[in-house]
Amino acid sequence: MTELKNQIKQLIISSLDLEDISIDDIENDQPLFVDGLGLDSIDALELGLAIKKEFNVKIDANSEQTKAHFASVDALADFINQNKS
Amino acid sequence: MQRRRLSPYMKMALHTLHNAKAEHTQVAVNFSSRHGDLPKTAKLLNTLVEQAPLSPTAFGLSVHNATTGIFSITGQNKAAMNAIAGGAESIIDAITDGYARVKSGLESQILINHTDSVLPEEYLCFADELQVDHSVSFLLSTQLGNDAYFELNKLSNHDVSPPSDCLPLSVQLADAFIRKEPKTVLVHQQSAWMLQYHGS
Repeated sequence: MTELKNQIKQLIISSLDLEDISIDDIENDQPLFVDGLGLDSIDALELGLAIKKEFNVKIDANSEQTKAHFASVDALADFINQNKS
Repeated sequence: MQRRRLSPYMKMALHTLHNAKAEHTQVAVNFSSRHGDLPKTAKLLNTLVEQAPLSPTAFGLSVHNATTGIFSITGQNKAAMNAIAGGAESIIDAITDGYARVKSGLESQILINHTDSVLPEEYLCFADELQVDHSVSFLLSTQLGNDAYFELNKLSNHDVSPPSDCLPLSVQLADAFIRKEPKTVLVHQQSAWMLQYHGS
């Protein structure tokens, strides 16, 4: 699970071109959007795409739950684990 | 708009635009580029070929006038901005249009920018000029009082044969602006231009 979370953090950094930040700077339970890491809606689209590609999971753009899945690295890791094909 | 979303091409363009605009906050812009952000566009095209989904950020910033859009937003500059693509003579078109806007009194001055990147590898076989990453920006206005000025004229029936390895016209022009020689011939495959410097 730690490996998956580090993989997600690395994907966040590389797909969003985050500058001057390493995986150690992202907490597992830290909010990714607005507060915390400060990502925005364009980042959400970009990250969704990267996660779909990397982990081969389906993400429903219109689902309320999707918002919850993208809340933190912890939430994303749970979501990927449950939906990996 | 965060800096991290900007490509090297756009950073290069914004850098010279900001340097040339100096203290002017509301200044009209004529942006020109022969190929636009082709490294980015080529990546998007490759993604389409692979039938993979496109990056929304790359897609949004790949249009020809994205640079002027970002320049406008970051500097809160609401003046009119044009984005021009006119082949090898793109910068001449930007100057011609800029001159018309200044001469007709629409604007007192125009910030001209030309930016191009080295062609991506798969397009290098089409190159008809030396490949160099470059961005050139300068302010265009009509002559003020007795100040020094440049004069640009198209040469007709020129007998200057273009070298096989000529630099882009935009780079030739920037070099001539710096050198301030009384006369410089700018030459490309199908056209030649005379730039004259009139000292004050």
